[in-house]
Amino acid sequence: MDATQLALWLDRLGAALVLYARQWCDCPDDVVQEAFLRLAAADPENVPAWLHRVVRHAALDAARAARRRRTHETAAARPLFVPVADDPDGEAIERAIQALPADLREPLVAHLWGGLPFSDIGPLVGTSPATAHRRYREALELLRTQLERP
Amino acid sequence: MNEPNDLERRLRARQPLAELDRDHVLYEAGRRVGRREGRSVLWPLATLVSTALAIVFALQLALREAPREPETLDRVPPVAATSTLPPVVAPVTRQWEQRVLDEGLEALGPLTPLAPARTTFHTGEFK
Repeated sequence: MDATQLALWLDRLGAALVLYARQWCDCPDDVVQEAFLRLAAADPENVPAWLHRVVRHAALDAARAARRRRTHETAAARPLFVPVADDPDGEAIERAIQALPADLREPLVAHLWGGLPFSDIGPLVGTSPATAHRRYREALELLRTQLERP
Repeated sequence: MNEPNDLERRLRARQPLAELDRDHVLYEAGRRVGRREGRSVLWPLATLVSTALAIVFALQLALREAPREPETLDRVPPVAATSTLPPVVAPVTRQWEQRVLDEGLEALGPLTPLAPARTTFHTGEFK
């Protein structure tokens, strides 16, 4: 893959993949950068699905290593999203997303910000596309409930 | 697929926070690709060939038959006791020799003076 294409994918999916990796590890930027370096040497057919898979594996590996070091607290203090000035429910959304069960949060992040279709999310998380879609809907419902709570 | 609802739109509008070093990624990707492309096949090939040759020679050495010892004889076969060679000394001479040893020079009898030597020769006479 040439540098122009790599830069395009980096701009398009870099931040979403960092959010995706943050579900597991405390060094999501490093994991995503390494995934893009591997992408430079590879030529996958489905680049978004390939990147999500590589990031997922690397983030899980990094999480296993971090579990021994216990440095998750510092990374967790960083916000998930770029802060917006006039955003009353920004913190509530972040808290609600972080409070989601992992199996519901992953399809949500991969679909909403990664742009992956459920036909790719299913194999990625080890379920059928229908199950991935159902979990996504459940995640949205849980978020709605959390955010509507006074 | 359902149309995105209001919550989905609100969520999607948020930009995930990332601290990616874009320049570093592009630089490092280019460096790795360049290093991979610049890698010559010469040394791996040379290593492969020399390893294969070493294996062949080692097998050849291991499977070679031990060299045969040169055949040596422990003893020389005995020479036949009776020689067919003619005696070096004539029997008559040996008899005179034995008589001189036994009886002394007198056994040879009185010495007779030698005939005077000829000093002139004719052509074709001297042989």
